[in-house]
Amino acid sequence: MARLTYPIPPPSEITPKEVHAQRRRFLKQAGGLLLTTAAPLLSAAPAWQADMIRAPQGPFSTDEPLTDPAMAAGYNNFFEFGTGKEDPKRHAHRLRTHPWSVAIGGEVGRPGRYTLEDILAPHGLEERIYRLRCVEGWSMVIPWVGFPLGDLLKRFEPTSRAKYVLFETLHDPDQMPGQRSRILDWPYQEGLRIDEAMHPLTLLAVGMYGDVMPNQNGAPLRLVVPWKYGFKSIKSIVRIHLQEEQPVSSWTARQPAEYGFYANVNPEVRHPRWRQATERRIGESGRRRTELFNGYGELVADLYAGMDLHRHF
Amino acid sequence: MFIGAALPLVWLGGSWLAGTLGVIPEERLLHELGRWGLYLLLATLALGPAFRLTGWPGFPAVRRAMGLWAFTYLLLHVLVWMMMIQGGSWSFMVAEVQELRHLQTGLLAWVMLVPLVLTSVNRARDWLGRERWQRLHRLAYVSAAGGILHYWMVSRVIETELIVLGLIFGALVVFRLAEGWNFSSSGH
Ligand code: HEM
Repeated sequence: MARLTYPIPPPSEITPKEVHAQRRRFLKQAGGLLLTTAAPLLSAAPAWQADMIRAPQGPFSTDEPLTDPAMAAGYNNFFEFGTGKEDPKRHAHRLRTHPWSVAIGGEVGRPGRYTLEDILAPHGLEERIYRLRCVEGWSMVIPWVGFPLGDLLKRFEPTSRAKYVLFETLHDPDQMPGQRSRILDWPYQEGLRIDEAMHPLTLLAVGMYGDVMPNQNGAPLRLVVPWKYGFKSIKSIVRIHLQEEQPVSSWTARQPAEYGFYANVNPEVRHPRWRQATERRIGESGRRRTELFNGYGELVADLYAGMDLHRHF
Repeated sequence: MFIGAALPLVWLGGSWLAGTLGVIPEERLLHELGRWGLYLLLATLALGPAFRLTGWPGFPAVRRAMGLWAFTYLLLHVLVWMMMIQGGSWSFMVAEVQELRHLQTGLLAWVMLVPLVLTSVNRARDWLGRERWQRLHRLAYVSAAGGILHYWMVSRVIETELIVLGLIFGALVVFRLAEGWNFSSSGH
């Protein structure tokens, strides 16, 4: 897989600029060994954030040109921070991503509330360059930094009754002012079937473009399911719940005729608001054809064998 | 009036040139033009009631110009959609309009404005006769209703602005009905 170069995005919100630059310089000199011990001394940022700089390339990456990181972090749907495309960037600084914890419960052997550090500790971070297709008819190519969701779920020992996974975003109108208006039923919820959640393509991401996840992109922990429309890839996750019943996604609850549970990218399934046959790749002019499962059909089509994709949209 | 109606356009043009319309400037342009077109259309409809309530002849005097400004914004709105969003490709445009109800609604609302523009000159009004001209120009209400419907259909969630515009339009219709369809628009 070709190594890609990209402009280094602005330092994260979490680490002050000087410290960030200093850390980068230090890392170059000291290498990986000192890293985990030295990083906490240099800043309040957790050690795992430093690991991103050297996250190795994982499988399934595309070699298409990357979306300009300023666009990927400047054009977002994150209604918790407003409905305009540029509202999230403007308001997401209110989100406090540290400390952060995630409640893992339901049909698992080891339920509990875990700090982000606990969650990340055993997982090696890797970079995965995925296409992202929004239901609104635009797409990006983003190098995520994260690890397979399946690896995390296995650690908490799902029971045989764990048929689905429910995810929930933080609910705190002080940090997420968009939650003051009742445009959606907060907190935002999303769900996957267990086999979708266990699929090696499905990621939990903590960064992008080799750096810490910008708040507006769903820091500190978000889902990335590249063969589904973007709204399935829930952001700023605080709860993961394994259960027997199929969860109801927030958008499905709002508009069941428009947003289904599966929300697989499919140019053949019509949506009343946006034509799904084509998409606009952000940064390109004109439109390109949209591919079934966002081009990941070889890897995921088996999950839906025998299903009527028009009915289960 | 001229300055008020032209200002958003000047601001949009300037921001476009300065590159300050955000990540996807043509999308912002499309949205702003649609919104200002609708504001001006509603403002044009409000001039009648404003005159009835205040008796100030300045209101009806600017009605034609304001209506034409509204149309100008909406013409640009459609042109931006055609040339920038759909890249000027007929096949894309036709496919989109065939499939999407909100575009059909917008198109209908927009097409209704065309005869109003064509008959906006005095000669056309004389030719039609005042009575018929006025009846024709009630299409502006239908167009505004279509515009609001179109806005509602493109909105992913119900925003306050949409509710406010709907209420303003409702009030205008109520006022018009209360006054009777036949009151004359003196001064025009
Ligand atoms: C009287 C006629 C029309 C009015 C008053 C109008 C007004 C509007 C308004 C207020 C918006 C929303 C802007 C926002 O979200 O801030 C909008 C969006 C839009 N309009 Fe129109 N419009 C009209 C006709 C048309 C026509 C004829 C077309 C194309 C054939 C069109 C295409 C669009 C598109 C594509 C959007 C954006 C949809 C999206 O972002 O998903 N409009 N229009």
